[in-house]
Amino acid sequence: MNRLRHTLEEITREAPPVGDLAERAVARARRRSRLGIGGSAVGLAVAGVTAAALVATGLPEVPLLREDGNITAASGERTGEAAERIELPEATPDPLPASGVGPAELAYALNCRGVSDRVECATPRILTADGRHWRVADALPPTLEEHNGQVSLQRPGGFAVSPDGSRLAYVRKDGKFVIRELVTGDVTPLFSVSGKEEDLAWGDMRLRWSPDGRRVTLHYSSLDLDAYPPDGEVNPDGQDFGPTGMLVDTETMETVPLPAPCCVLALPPGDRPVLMQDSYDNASELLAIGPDGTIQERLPFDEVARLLIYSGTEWTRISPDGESMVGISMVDEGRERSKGDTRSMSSDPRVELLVIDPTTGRLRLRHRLPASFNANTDILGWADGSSVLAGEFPGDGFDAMLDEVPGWHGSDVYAVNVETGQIGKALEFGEAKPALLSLATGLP
Amino acid sequence: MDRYEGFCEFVAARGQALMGTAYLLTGDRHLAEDLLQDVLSKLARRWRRIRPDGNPEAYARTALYREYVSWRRVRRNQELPSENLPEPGGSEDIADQAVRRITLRQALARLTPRQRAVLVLRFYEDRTEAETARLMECSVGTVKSQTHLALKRLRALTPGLGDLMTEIEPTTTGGMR
Repeated sequence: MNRLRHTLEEITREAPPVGDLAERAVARARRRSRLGIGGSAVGLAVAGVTAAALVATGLPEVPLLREDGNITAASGERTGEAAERIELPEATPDPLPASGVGPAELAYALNCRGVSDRVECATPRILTADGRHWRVADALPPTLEEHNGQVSLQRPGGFAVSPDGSRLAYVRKDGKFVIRELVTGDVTPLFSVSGKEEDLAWGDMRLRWSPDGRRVTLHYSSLDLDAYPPDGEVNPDGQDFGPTGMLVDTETMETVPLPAPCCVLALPPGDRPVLMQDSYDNASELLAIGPDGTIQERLPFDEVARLLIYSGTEWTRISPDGESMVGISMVDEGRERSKGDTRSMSSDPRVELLVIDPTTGRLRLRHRLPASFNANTDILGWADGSSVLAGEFPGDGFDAMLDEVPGWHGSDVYAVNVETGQIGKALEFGEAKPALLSLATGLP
Repeated sequence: MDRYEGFCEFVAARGQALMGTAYLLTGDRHLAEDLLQDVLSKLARRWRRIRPDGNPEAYARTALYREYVSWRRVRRNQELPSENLPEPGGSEDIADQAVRRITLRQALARLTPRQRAVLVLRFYEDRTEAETARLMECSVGTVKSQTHLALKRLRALTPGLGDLMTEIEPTTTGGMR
């Protein structure tokens, strides 16, 4: 035995005892089973809310945690009109023609479990305003992985539709990041995402449009963002990692490398600074990045950084006017009460929507989301100036593989009022649920 | 039949070994408990289906690594240790077992979760690169790159532990067995 292994083994002896973990795990499994969490239906069961109330309103009560720490109950009344229902076809649609097809309402990818040509089926698609579905045939496809006889699907490369639905940004099979004009069909290749094809498929790509559609950012990695040293070291194959993120001006199509390996939190409208968090070296600062890609200002961010569960564009969104930013937090109440430690997910953690002042990095409000929202909750955009769209997505690999659900569960979209915390279902999907979803939130 | 029959016995028999790995991965006692509980909860929910296959530990270990790596985004914001690494002393100081253990543990905490997972799989569990890749749902090339970067970073963080890295360096590209 070498000494590294010996030392590692010594460290394992410092591990805590298992104690009653087995009993707690069984209790948790029974509770989850009772609540239907992990099943194929959207379960909005919340303790204290009767089934009758749920049937009557379709919504749970949403406690509202104010800035001063007091919790008040806000009823979960519907906001706006009834939820729009969208049927996503399992059948593979036609490929996007070279000519234009018109603006898209959304871009999405399906899991396509049980479909014979699953890779083709799970390739990113768009739904245009005229109700037609198109396959983005040249987009980077997803990867299939077999494990113990079961096949799981890894998420395809990044794609996102612009807020007005007129453009689609995505990574092509050849590794080029492109912007496609959906009205004319024109495609502008911008830069290559470094890496081998095999690694591209595993890449962690995060794509974001600014609310006004003037700019777009892509953070990417051919291996994993974690692998990227900030100084652009060379990997064992001699391959230069290159930059890990780019800012694109979609009017001039000029690109500027972003300075930190991760992560863009918000891309405001106009020329306002890009907001980033260097989650590796100093997560407690909010970085304001100028148009030349340099850091203009460092704002204290520790208060919010403690609560944000993820760093990345899927989980934070800036409002159309650039005055508010929302993020997702996860709080374990029991642990928070006992130790003030919000990191743990030891019991049943609760997801919160954080409302943040992007100019100061300070927390404005915290809204607790219903119990069915979990760590896979994505912020899909702002429905208007006062509500954000939140969707629950069950993950991209292991959970989906194990749960063996027919399609992705829980993928409906809810509108949450950032001031009151009131919540209502905005979009629901038919039998086929999106595994990934990008909404043209600027469309009426 | 109770759908969880045999589950508690399994945890009693193999739970501590799994906890050891969880602790190596997280470097934190509370987080190790949390991680293992998450994994055991998933295992319990699927116990009836997994048990007839006869290898719940393989399932649990796979889940442990993947769950841990899936936590990486969750923990990015909190994982920077507050303590500074101990100043690397001379080789005689570092030779002290306890100091080496503490130094390595703190250095591991400075790695990214995926790098830590790769090191534990490769050099604690003696997994081959192919096995590690399968467990972590990534390519063999990724395992190689991550291993290289992890060792490089460990060496930079803990010059006094360079002898530990040197011992295993020749095997990092050829597999441990």
